[in-house]
Amino acid sequence: MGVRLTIRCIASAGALILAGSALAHHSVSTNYLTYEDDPVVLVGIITEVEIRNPHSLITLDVVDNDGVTVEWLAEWSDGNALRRRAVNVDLLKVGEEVTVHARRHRRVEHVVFVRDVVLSDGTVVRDCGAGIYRGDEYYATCEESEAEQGEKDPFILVP
Amino acid sequence: MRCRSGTRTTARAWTGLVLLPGALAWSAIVLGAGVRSDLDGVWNVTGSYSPDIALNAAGEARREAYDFLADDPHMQCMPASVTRTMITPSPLMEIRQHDDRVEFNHEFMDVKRRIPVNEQMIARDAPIASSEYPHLGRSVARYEGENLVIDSAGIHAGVFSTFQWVGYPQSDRMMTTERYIPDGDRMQARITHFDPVNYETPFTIVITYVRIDAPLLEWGCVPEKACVDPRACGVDAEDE
Repeated sequence: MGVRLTIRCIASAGALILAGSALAHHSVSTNYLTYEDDPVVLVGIITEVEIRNPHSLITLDVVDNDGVTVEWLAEWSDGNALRRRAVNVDLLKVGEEVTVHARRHRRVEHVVFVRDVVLSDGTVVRDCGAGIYRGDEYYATCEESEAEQGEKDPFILVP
Repeated sequence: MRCRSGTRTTARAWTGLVLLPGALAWSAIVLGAGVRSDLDGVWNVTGSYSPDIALNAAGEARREAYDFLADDPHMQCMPASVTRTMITPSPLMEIRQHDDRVEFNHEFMDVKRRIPVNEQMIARDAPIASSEYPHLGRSVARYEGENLVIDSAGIHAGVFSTFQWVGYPQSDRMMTTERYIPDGDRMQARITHFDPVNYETPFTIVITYVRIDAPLLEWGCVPEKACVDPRACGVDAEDE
């Protein structure tokens, strides 16, 4: 998994079409607003972490402006993808206070989709998304991808 | 290529479908039996697209009625279709070719398809491809040149996609032809869908892949946990 493959591209014209099509109809986009349109920033205590398929889940207790503790559900990428992309999910501990940047659910209150999680020591846990597999180059992990391409929005599919 | 809507175009398109078996037989004669190409290995999606898909009035009504929260089979750990299984960008797909069959192993929903290679067989007489998910239909494979071609029928009505083309319907008359076109460590899959119940013309979804060196992982979807929150899957909280 540590090997970066550089492979020639077939049908480059088609590949350009791919990115736009996929981005426009991504299933996460069906359920969630974009972060840019409606960013959600939650500061809360992790009560549960489930790395699973088809989607992972972080449960948080968040104290709202009225002092009431509200449970928020933060959906995340599928567990296989998180493991394959070497996202360090083991850093997420029950009982720890974290800041979650996330996308708001279109219909359901207190449900979001994770963009990144910032731990109390400033460590950022982030999934760079399926975009790392796009295009002429294949990066096995987020770390390799970001070292080469820089940080990208996880839902922008690199053509 | 975009197909125009309208009676003449529609008639021409579906006439083409009627003529398809004959055309396939002709192409098999011209091309010969085909050559088994090197498709073995683990593949990762790099992209997918389609020309405009032309729903007919009935298909449009079904798509309008689809509720992505309440009706997504994904939330019951069910793959909506072979196309839906193949276009998901993160889960991997493995192909294993044998003399008498082709095996597809997908991470997504742990879908496994076992498809006989038989140039004489037609899809509706073929065996169920996935014993775990019989709604995916009956499939038979052949080679045309270096391309692997799979015809499927007996697909159950529902939606063919909950991803990208969310809520697009399929009837139990849907038939598909998958064409796998190898190019070294790249591959293109072209899945043509024939469903006169819901669409003006046949349409093709194109999916591109790269072959990678990675193990297939178990998906292990559990229906009780497939939905993040019952409210988010259209289940009334009072029913819980």
